[in-house]
Amino acid sequence: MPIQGKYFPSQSSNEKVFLLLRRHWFTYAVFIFIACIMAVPFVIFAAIYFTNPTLFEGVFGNFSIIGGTLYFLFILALMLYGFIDYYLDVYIVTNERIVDVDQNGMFKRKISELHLYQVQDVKASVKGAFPTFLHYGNIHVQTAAEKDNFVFNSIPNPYRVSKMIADLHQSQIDDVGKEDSNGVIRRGRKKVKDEEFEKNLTHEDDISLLGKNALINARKNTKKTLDETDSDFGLKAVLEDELAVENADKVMGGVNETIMNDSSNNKNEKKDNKLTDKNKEFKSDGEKKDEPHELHENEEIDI
Amino acid sequence: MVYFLIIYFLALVVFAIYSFFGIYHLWRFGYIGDLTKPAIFVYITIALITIVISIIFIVFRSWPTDFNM
Repeated sequence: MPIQGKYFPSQSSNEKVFLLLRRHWFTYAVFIFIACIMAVPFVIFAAIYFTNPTLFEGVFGNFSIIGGTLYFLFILALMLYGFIDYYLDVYIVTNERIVDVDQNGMFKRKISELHLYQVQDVKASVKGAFPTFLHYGNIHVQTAAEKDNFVFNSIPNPYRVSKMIADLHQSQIDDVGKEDSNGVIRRGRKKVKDEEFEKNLTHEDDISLLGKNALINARKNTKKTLDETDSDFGLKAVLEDELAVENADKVMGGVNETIMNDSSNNKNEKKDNKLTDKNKEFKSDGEKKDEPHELHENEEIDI
Repeated sequence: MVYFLIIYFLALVVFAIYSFFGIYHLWRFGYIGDLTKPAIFVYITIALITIVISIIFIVFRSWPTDFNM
């Protein structure tokens, strides 16, 4: 389930955040523990002051109040520093990339990005007693080419997170492609389909790469545009939808058959000539033929 | 003895500047609904209580008026 909102400056409008990760709370608890140890002398002095105030009269008392206050404020400031370093250090995983927001102290902030298609490998590791019992560990995201690897330190539930990153990576390479070890982006299946679809819009004599849904949608849109003014559009649209599905099945059947025939023998030139002749004939007559191949050819022109 | 007080107030100024930058970072880079705003509130509250109590102690104690420690 994606998280709504904008979480880093370069986030695009259609980019969805799936994970917003911070280090495990135990890493800050260590900081609090150190601050508590530092506060022990302050607490001892305060206890003595309230039980036996006569000891704090004179110069020693004044010095203790001022020194104790400044010491306590120093511990408080140290805890603020630790909290900023802990809480503003964020790892963001979106459907497109991984973003590492690295806050070091007050005035050093670094934002690194890694596109999911650049991911080569994701490893999760849990080392030590506390990480094992508290379920946190490191995630190493190995990248392609010469880019630096991403390391998520002390992340809660590292195995689940690494699996989610791997799933999003798989989804991304299906959509866009994958970068190989030479830094070359190899296009994904969906991207290839989209590009071929766009290409097919300008080359209407090759529909073998058109998907069934593309045919259905194209036919629906055409009919909708043409029949917008029809009063019986509601009923007609249902009938047209059914017809579009049926025809798309036939078209895809014809396409598959054509592809099989093409691969088995060397009749491409004859078929193209035949197709062209029949297209011309169709355009001149406006008639439809009943044979399956011609149905698919006619469908192509209809779309 | 008054040197102590001067050092104390200078340290308070430094602490205030440091706190301002820290709170600014939390305010600017925090996300809606996260713990940055409660942390700011807790930090300011504790710091103010500490400073006010210390000032009360300082005011109600006797401080020599000369500048010799």
